[in-house]
Amino acid sequence: MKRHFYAFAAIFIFFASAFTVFQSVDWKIADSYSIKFDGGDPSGEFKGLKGSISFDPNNLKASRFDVSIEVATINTGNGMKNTHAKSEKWLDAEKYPLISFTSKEITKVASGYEAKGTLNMHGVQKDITLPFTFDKDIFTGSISVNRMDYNINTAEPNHGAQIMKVDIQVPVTK
Amino acid sequence: MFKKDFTHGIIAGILASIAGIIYSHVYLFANEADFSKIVNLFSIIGANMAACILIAFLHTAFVKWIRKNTEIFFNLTLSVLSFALIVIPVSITLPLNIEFPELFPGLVIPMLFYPSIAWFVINPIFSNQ
Repeated sequence: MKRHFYAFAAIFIFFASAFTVFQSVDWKIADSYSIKFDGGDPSGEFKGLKGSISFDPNNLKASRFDVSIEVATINTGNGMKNTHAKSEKWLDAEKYPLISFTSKEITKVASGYEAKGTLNMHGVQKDITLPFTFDKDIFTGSISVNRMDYNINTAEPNHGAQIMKVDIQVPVTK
Repeated sequence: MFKKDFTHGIIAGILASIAGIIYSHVYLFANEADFSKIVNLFSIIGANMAACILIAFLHTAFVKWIRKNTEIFFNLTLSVLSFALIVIPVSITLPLNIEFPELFPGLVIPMLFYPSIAWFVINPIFSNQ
């Protein structure tokens, strides 16, 4: 019995150790992040980035992004445009206060990495692929978002840009 | 003729600058906003002096070209121009590193009227000369 106990203990420790290897690295979002969007008119940035980032280049299976930004923090550099952007007609910050992205899978590609996941904006969930790089503790990525896909002011398709290029730069610390 | 308008403009510019500096300090203190990269001591003085010199040129031109009811047309034009300038702070896009752009029009719009107000305030002194 005693001999079996040590064998079970050894097996348990082996598997427990294996789980520690599979654990990814958790990162904290540094304050100097930037999430800028550019559609010509309008262009600007968001603040209020929160969430959890678990990422290990050597263990992408355990890596995961679950982040959100506050719609009310939008800044186009113009007070009137900010008010319009937050209004019911556009992003409706009161009803949909957050834009969130949750990854399902992160894979390595030639240019860096790709995070496949769900972008939740304006009450619409859509699967997207976010290409990004990770260098010197900085995540850098860029995607294009079509506001029409998220039912944002679909009544006026030609009022302002439809497609926004979103540039994301998130420095992180351990 | 322009010498009198020029003096009028310089004094109006100084008064408008003083009013602008006081107002900006009170406004920025009350709202805890910082627009010092755009609206600061030098920009306020520069803008008000330039505006009042332009008003002086405008007045000289009115006196020269409009013989009848000169002051009425001049005052009307100056008032309309001051109102029209409101479109600038409302439509301007500030650099993204400046927080609370919503507060910017509230700072600048009243100041747009200071040059014309200052001109009108001291106008009786110069019109009686």
